[in-house]
Amino acid sequence: MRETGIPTVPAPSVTRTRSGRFVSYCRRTWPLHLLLLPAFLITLTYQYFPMLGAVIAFKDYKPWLGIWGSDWVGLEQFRYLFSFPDIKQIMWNTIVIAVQKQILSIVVPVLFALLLNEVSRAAFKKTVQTLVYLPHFLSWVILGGIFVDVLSVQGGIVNRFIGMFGADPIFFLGSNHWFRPTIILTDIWKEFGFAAIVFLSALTSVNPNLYEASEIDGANRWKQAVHITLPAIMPILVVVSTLALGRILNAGFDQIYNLYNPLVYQTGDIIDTFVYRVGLEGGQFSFGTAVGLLKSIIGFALIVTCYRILYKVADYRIF
Amino acid sequence: MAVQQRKRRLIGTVGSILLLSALATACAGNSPKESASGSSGTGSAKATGQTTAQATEQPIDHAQQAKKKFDPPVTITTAIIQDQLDNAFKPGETIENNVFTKWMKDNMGIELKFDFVVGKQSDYDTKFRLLLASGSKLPDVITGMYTDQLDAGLLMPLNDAIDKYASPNLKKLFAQYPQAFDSVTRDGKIYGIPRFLSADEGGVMWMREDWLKKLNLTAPKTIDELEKVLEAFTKLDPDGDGKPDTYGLAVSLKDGMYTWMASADPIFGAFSDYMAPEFRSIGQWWNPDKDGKLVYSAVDPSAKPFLETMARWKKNGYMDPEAGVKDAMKAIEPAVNGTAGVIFGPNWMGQWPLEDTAKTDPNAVWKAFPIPAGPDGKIGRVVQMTGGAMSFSKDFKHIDAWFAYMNKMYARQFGKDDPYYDPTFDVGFFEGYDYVKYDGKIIKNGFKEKGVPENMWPLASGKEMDMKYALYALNGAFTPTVPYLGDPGYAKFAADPNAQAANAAEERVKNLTKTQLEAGNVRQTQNQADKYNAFGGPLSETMKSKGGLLTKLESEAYLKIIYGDKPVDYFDEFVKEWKASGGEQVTADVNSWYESTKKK
Repeated sequence: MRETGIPTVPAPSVTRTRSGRFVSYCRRTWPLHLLLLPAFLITLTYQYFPMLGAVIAFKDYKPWLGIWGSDWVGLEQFRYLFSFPDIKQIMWNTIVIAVQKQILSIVVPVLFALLLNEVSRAAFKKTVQTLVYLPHFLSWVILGGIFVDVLSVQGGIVNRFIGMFGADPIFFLGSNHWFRPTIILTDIWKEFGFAAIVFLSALTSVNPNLYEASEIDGANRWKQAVHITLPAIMPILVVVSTLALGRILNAGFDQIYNLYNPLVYQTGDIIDTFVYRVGLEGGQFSFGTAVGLLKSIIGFALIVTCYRILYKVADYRIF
Repeated sequence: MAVQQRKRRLIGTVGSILLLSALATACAGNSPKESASGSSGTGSAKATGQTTAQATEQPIDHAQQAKKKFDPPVTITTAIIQDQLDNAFKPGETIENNVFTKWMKDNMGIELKFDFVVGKQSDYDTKFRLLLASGSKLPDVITGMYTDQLDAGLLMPLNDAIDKYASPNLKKLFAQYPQAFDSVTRDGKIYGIPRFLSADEGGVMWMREDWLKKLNLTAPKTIDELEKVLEAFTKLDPDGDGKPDTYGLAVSLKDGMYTWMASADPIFGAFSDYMAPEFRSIGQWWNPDKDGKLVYSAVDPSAKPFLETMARWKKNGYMDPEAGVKDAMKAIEPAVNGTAGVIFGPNWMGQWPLEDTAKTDPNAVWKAFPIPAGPDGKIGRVVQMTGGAMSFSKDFKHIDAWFAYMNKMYARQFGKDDPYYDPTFDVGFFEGYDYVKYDGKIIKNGFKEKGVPENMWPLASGKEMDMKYALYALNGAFTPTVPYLGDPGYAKFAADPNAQAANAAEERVKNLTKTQLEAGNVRQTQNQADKYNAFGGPLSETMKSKGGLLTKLESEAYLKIIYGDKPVDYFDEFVKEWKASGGEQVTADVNSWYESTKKK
């Protein structure tokens, strides 16, 4: 009786068991949690805590008043951004340049990776791979100077080439017609090699048995690429594309700042360069923060939407 | 032993100086005549727009003040920006402890303390923002004048201190350039000491003399004549290679009509009374008109004929077709590589970068000519008169010590007659540092070439030392200079390289190369063309919020007109839009600031 008497009081016993389980869990795993603690604290301190600073987007931040001492202004900074007469043009420039860059910066590296994957000589493959990702490590400050020369209308190598076909030289960096394509292509040239690394590594993980099996079934190289290689890298492709959406308002400050000029403000002035020039006039912290926040919110919203759609429609979880 | 000896000697020196200064004080006390002469300085009153030189309550005797040693020693705290420099100090010496800080302590009784030393301007600004936010103590001596600190009432008004402690020559300098004080004055009170520049960077017209000779042309004196030369350089194949691969003008227009090299400012100045605009900030540039109102030079109607001229030159191919996408460093390339034959810029350009033209064309001769005059005989160019200012914490107790130091540093510029002139620094500052004595000669540079034995070199590398961090720490590592003071030297040393320099400014000129000297001599004949920015106040709310938009309008309008995308008459439309987009308000703000610096 005494023995059965204990289970007749189930509630405390369950709790005791649960808390007992928790205690024993902690006892078993506390060293692991301890190991995690520094990383957790660092992330909290350097990633999450500073996010609170974004509150100055809603304030008229003055350094000497501090974050809390500064006046609340609500959405004034956002209103200010949209009060500029040419903000529509600037938004449009940003989106047009960024979207084209994002699309090409996925398509080109994937194609390149697929092509390079077909190369059978390892030495050649490695050499090419190294050569194409080298530009990634050059800064736009240096490349800006180089491109002014390369694209020069007086003896620049590109215009000399165009001249061989009898065409007039093109003022790539000074013409509103050519500035955007120039920006996009030079950016792709700089980054595609580096972006291809992810896809190349995904390709190495494809099971060679699949290719052997498909060969027996009579698949040629093209069929193999479409039915084995592409599906194999699809997950990584989806992740990369979704994450790229978060950068939809980042058209590349470094690059454009180093290549643009007043002649092409009309097609080349993007949010970041504009805010830089406007905010520079008297250190407008709040304004800069507000624009950064706006960009992050839009990027975040796009990622979440895309994630949801993929999950609902294709039942596909990317993270 | 050695240390003890040095200590004893030090005590001896200190003691004797103390005695001397006590004696001097006594003498001064007994001779009212002498102290009266000390106070007869012209006064900084003019700088504030005042005309009467008020007698201060306790006039000081400069002759005595010059010898004064502060006892007990005073401590001055400051903060400084120090770029990476391997030749600033000898091994073992630091910015806080070097031959000059020792000298200051031993001879002037001033001890230097650094609240912080940072590597760049932005870090310096951040530090001051943080000091303000945390309410911490400011350094006594501050490089720059922070509007935030001024608003918060943390800076010291200096009117009385200038009257009382500045040397007569310094007061004369201040009175000579009252506009330099506009940017550091608020409601009649001076809060900063401007750091004067030597004002010797005004542009000259660099031209390929060999091309001129080849085409039988003479140096142009007017814009019209210049246009003919540009045409000839473009069409008549001056380099004689049978190809139409040359043009006239190498110029940078991307960042404005004025840049530090390959500038268009002398062309603008030929048409306008104002400074050639820069596209960087709404604060650049404002000049007073006939009625004493400040005008934004970019929107003045006088810019129209300038734009018309530039557009014509662009259309005819007389200038670099890519001027609009090039900054100064890029824009000099066609001049250096023998494509362009004319470039405007400072007198030092003959050395670098134009010297390199000889590498591609051994016959190339660049020569400096006076800048050409416009249709009405106008000449004009952009010159910077001051480079920032020094300001002081309101809690700084020893502004007299700062002035004593500054008077001494400036005395080297003014020459031997200045009461603060220190004969110790006759030939240089410290033997073995900025000069060595060898073979009975004073040698300041090129130690190796001049045969100085290696163990006498100031640095093991044989390089000259850059002592500005040691000597001028209390002036933000900024050599005290006086505008145009070295100018007589250009003609003098061009004629006789071994002539005697009258002061430190001329000494500097003496060390220039021959091409620089000749070009500088050309430059100084046209000093009347120099124009200075008259706006130096804080940016108003409208300037902050609309500045970016206004400079964008301006830069687009200028380049589109020059590139022929818009007709010249578009200028009027641009001015209308500029005014409506906040320009009108900005003009009002700037002028009310200008008024505020004038009123007492």
